[in-house]
Amino acid sequence: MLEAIYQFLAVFSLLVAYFLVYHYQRKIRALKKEKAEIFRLLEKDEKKLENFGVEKNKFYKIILNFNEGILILGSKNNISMANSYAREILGVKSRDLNGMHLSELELFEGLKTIIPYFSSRRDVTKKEVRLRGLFIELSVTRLPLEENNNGSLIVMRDITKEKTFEREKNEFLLSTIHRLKTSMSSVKWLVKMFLSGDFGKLDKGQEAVMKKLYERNESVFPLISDLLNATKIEEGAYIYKKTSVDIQELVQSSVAYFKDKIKSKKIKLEFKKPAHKLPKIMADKEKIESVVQNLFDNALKYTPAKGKMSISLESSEKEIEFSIADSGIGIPEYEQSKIFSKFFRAKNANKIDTDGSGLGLFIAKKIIEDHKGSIGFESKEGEGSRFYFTLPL
Amino acid sequence: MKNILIIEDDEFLRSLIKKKLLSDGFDVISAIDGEDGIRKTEEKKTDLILLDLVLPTIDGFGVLAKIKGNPNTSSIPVIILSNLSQKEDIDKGMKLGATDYIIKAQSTPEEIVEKVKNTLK
Repeated sequence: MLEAIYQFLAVFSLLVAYFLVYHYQRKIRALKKEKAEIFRLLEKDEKKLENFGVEKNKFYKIILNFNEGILILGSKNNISMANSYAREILGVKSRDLNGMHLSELELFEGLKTIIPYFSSRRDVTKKEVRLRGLFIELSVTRLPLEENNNGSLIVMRDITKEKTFEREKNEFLLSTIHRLKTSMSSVKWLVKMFLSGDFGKLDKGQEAVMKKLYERNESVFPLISDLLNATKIEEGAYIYKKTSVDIQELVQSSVAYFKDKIKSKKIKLEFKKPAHKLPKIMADKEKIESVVQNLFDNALKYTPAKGKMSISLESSEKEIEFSIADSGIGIPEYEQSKIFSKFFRAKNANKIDTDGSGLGLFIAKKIIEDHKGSIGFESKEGEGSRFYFTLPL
Repeated sequence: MKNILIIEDDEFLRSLIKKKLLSDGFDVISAIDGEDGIRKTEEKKTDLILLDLVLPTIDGFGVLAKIKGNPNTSSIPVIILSNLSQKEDIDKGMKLGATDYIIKAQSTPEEIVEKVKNTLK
């Protein structure tokens, strides 16, 4: 009897032992696997860190050699990094600027005027400044640093070459436009003299042809004028002569000016006058008048006969708003974003008037914005448009 | 016979105005630039000057200033004949003593001769 029990116990313990060994071997294998996995991950991380280091170096190298001047300022306006192009632009190529405070940088020759931009706490976006005889495009942005501090990222781009080229181009354009005007004037005078019989009497046929030639030549003058204005705008030579202007009077005289055309097209005109007399504003009368006339002219041109036009003039505490609405062809939605750009002509407008220069609204926008106002429109193709501008009081 | 001096560098324009003035009974002297023009005022008695502004060498404003600054010529009426149409240019010309300012692109030879006649009345 006892022997059987011992045999049983022996087998049982063997089984248990076997089972235990199997179990733990499995566990050991799993752990070994985990260890290998961990080592692999560690290796990966190390590689990552290495790559990160390499990337950081690459990045650093790129910034240092970048084709634009880059300065990084710390929260206390000390220079923490200045690449070589920045030092070249600032005229301190041989100096190491690391750690230098802006107040010390200010002492270097020719840098006094630019330092206030560097220490500006407000973002500066692509401002054109003069520095040491160069034209520089300057941007200053806030750079978040550790521990909730803010530094600044300063980017300087040398645009002297572009500016010089632009200037030369504009001078060339202005002189060419003048020569064009002279040439066209001589055609105008010659044809007029032909029509007056200065070169002998003309027969009916010749007279008709000469008249047509005269008109054709005349129609080009406004285009030349637009081109001249647009070029002057680019050149920055667009000068304003500001006086005290009564906008209501200006609008009313424009209405009078277009009266005949409105009548002949049988257009119904509504003028919503302001409730109280508008205050006068400081503005260049001639130029604001040209904006009003341009908007008027457009509304008139692109509205078919028997259509409607309505003008309104009102003022709030801060500004005066002029708006003109028409029941004309409107502006297709996909062309609306380009309306104020230079030389742009919407397709449906071009069908009605192929002579348009595309410069009227470009110039109008420039004039209004230079007066610190804003200009805009709402339009639906086939229904009409409403153009408006505001001028600050 | 009244003597009109034209200071204008564009030959064609000059010839058109000259033709019109001659047919209206005026005597015409031509100058192709400022210096030439000033010299011509000293050579012959001039009753009126038609002056272009965009000229080679000295510009028209400089010529006008010289003419008005010389007591021998300051009383001669000067009518500016130019394609510079900006208000600043017109104001500048009138301030320097011009009697009138005509924009070529906006006038005809007849109108110019009319203005000459009116000024000399």
